[in-house]
Amino acid sequence: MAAKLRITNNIRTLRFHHGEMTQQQLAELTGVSRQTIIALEAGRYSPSLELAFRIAEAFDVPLPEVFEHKKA
Amino acid sequence: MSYKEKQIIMSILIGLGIVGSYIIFALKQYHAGVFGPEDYRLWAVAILKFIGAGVMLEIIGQIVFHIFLAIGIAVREKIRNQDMDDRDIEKNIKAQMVEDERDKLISMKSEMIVQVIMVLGFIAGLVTLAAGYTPLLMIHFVLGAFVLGNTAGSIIRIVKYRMGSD
Repeated sequence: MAAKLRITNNIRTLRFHHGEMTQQQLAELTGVSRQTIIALEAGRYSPSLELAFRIAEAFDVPLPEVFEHKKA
Repeated sequence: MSYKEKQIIMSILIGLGIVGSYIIFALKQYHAGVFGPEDYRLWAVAILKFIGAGVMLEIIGQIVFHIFLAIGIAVREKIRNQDMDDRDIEKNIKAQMVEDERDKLISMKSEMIVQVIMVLGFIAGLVTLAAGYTPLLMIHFVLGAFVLGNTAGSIIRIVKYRMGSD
């Protein structure tokens, strides 16, 4: 069985580098609720591929700059 | 506590209120001898009435909940920023009520639990029937599984909102 991947993200850092973008602003840009952004930042939720791309697009960076994975 | 969690808690409370009322009603009727264990039609009509009342209360509850939520957000935003206009407040209210992929995933996972409990309740009801008990017991097993399943599903949704949905 394949080992489970632990997905981490740099959303908090990227928000900081984008003029302290608020969680609400990012939520509006990506079409999700603020609670989902909170869960993502806390590592309590792994987004769909579509949402992952939308987040990367909101920060105008490639996907690997937002999400990283490690073998658990 | 998020909007979704409050909405789920309200649904649980309405559901438990209806179940509590039904239990009191059923026990009173049974002990007074109005509904006997063989009066299936009377029980079925009473259960259908309670289900109808539950659906109506849920709809009314949701409408009232959303009105109060909107008023709450509007007042809070006005206190925080008095220059905020109605359009900004409306945008804020809509943002709070967004349903996204995480909500759908959590709903889907809790639905699986609801279905398992309902099927188990139905099987338990069939077992009582096979064992020779009154069909009234089976009806109540199925009804109980329906209520228990929905309540468990709602609690799981709250836990998943709090602890994570993976």
